[in-house]
Amino acid sequence: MRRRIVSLYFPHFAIDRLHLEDSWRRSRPVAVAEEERGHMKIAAVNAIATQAGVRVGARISDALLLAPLEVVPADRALDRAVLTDWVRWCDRYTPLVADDRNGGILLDITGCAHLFGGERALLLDLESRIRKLGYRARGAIACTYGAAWALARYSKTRIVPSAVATRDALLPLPVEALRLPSDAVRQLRRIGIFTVASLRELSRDSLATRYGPEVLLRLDQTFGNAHESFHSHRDSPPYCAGQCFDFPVVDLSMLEYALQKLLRRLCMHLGRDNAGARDLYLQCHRVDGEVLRCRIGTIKPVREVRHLMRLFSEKLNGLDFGCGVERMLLSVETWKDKNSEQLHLRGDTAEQELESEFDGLLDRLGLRLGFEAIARVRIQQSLLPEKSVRFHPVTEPDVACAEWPIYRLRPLELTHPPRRIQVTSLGNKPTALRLENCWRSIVRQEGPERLIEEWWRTNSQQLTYRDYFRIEDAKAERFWIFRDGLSHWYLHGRFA
Amino acid sequence: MLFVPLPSTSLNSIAQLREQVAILQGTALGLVERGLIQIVPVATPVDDVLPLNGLPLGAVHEVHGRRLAHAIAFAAMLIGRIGKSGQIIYIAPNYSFHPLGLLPFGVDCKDWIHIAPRRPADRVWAALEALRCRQVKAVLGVLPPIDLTGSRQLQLAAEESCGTCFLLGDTDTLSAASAATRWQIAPAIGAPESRFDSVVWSIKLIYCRGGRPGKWTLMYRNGVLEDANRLVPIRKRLLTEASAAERMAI
Repeated sequence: MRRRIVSLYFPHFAIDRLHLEDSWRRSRPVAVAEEERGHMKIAAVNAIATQAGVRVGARISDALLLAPLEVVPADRALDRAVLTDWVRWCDRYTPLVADDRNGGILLDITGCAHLFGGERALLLDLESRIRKLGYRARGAIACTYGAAWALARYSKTRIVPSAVATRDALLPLPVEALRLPSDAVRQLRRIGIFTVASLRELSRDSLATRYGPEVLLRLDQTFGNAHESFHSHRDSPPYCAGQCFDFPVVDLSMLEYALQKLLRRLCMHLGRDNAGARDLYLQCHRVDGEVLRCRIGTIKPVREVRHLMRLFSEKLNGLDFGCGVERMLLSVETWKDKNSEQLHLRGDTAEQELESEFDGLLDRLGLRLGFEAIARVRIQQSLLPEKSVRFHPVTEPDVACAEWPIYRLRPLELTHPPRRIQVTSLGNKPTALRLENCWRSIVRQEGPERLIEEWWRTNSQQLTYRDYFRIEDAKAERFWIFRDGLSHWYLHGRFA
Repeated sequence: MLFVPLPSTSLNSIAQLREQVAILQGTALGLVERGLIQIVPVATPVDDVLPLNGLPLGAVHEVHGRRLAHAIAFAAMLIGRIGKSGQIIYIAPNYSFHPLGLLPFGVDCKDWIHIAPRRPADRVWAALEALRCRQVKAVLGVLPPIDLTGSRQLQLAAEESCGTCFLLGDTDTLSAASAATRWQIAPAIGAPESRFDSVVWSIKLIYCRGGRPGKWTLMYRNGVLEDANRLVPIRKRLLTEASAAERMAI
């Protein structure tokens, strides 16, 4: 059966989103600005601004002279999130919907057009519903992804019924319609190739050698001679296992036994592909229709049943199974490569076991306390006390510890922020210190150690500096104090 | 449990009774020689008083300091002497201390893992889970007051996995019911010629299982705790320029 693809193009996606956020913007000139090579340039304009003369690609300073423009910075992440919602909405036409990674949507409607009264009716229905929800969209139907994409954006034709008609519709379109890389397009225009027709007249070998294999691939994909596929958002995860029970199960130990069997099956599949699971998702369907969900995450990819079972049993204890569970589904949401362990000599397996036991401990602690509560201590390449140590979360990949010069003594307790204190000094050296409303005389001091602000982090010409002193008072308490450029004294820490 | 055969003599003699109790309690010297208990030396005058001639590993110890920093430093110094390789887990309510201050005490920051759970019950649970793991060398915890069951669980976990647990606190925290030793650390005045890379502490052993309490003034320098009793307390005086020039570091 011939494939039929719908491509949806949103020509003013960002502007439509802004209009929906604030409907007063429809009667005001609004533009979306994006940074390009250091300048902020206009990326999209609404109708009122276009009437005033603002164009895409202009600089903001020039555009503001033409109209009282409201300039909104581009938020690509939010646009992508809204597009994902639209992709899910398009589920009502077909389950095979995907984001085409260019700001549009692709739907595979092979075999479902008759449910909506034909392809034309489907397209009209789709566009009108989107328009009612506030967005402007243009759709086109063709036999391949590339052809539908090109027609939606560059042509007035909407539906092409056959391959021959596709070819006739595509030939007069510009070369950008083929989704070629931008430098290839520039080079083609320089030698006078402006339309798809003239591109097809060139020999295939010369195209491949001069502009790379991608040009040829896109050409073939658009005309249906090469295969192209998209992952629809409903793709089922490749690693999943399920168990149905003959009777509703309430007993926790039976459910744990079933879960262990599922984990064993999953870990075998993962082992075949040399992968380890990092996020797992368990669904328990109860007989009354409710679904209990629980998720576990690990720091490193894991393939061991015992490790994962321990993480799950903590979560299972807190679930209420009601009248019974009739089905359990376990799926792996995130997985990463994990090379299978090489065969080790007897001495090394013990070490490996210890390491995996420690990873299991970190995962269990992270699951209950939150992974952000666990951190490693890493010394950074900086002498300033606020920056020299970083508590590195365990979820991030490990970094190396810098070497710290041992003669630079640092206190065990840091007062943050540094507290302003009163100090009497003789010459440059402190002699007495006032802390908590009592004066302490200083009997021993070492210093000054001058720490200067890091010049590569600031723009100012004058770098601030601090003179640090280690002092001990008559009661044997040790402090770390400093004097800054304005001769103010601060307490920054206390030694053990 | 340690399976050690009891001497098969009559139980009338008090000395023999004491020996049997010491074996069961884990404070007999013979256990160290047979390798069933590992110890870590503290300082010469302190080791003479401790029943095993050193601090036993695989047990729970309590260290209180005038400030938390003193307790951390003392515990870190002892941990730095443990020969076993492994991770050090520090459990506290917040990220309160500066790890660079531990470097003079012989602790490597690479093995240090810092856990900051928000709820107090979670801190006790985390300490228990961490102690049960064999890869963990030591656990330092700033925990809320634990009851008898909790401290007994900690002790059993420490014995099983040979990891040491140090419960840290300020002077006003309550002490757990079962700890092998209880220490109190406070800063003390040192000799006029000592520098900042040496620390003087007044160390009090408040409780020791199978031993007697004691009090010492010791100086920590270059990895060794030595007697500071012979040091003269310094007079309050202003420093002269000459001695100040000598003392300038960096």
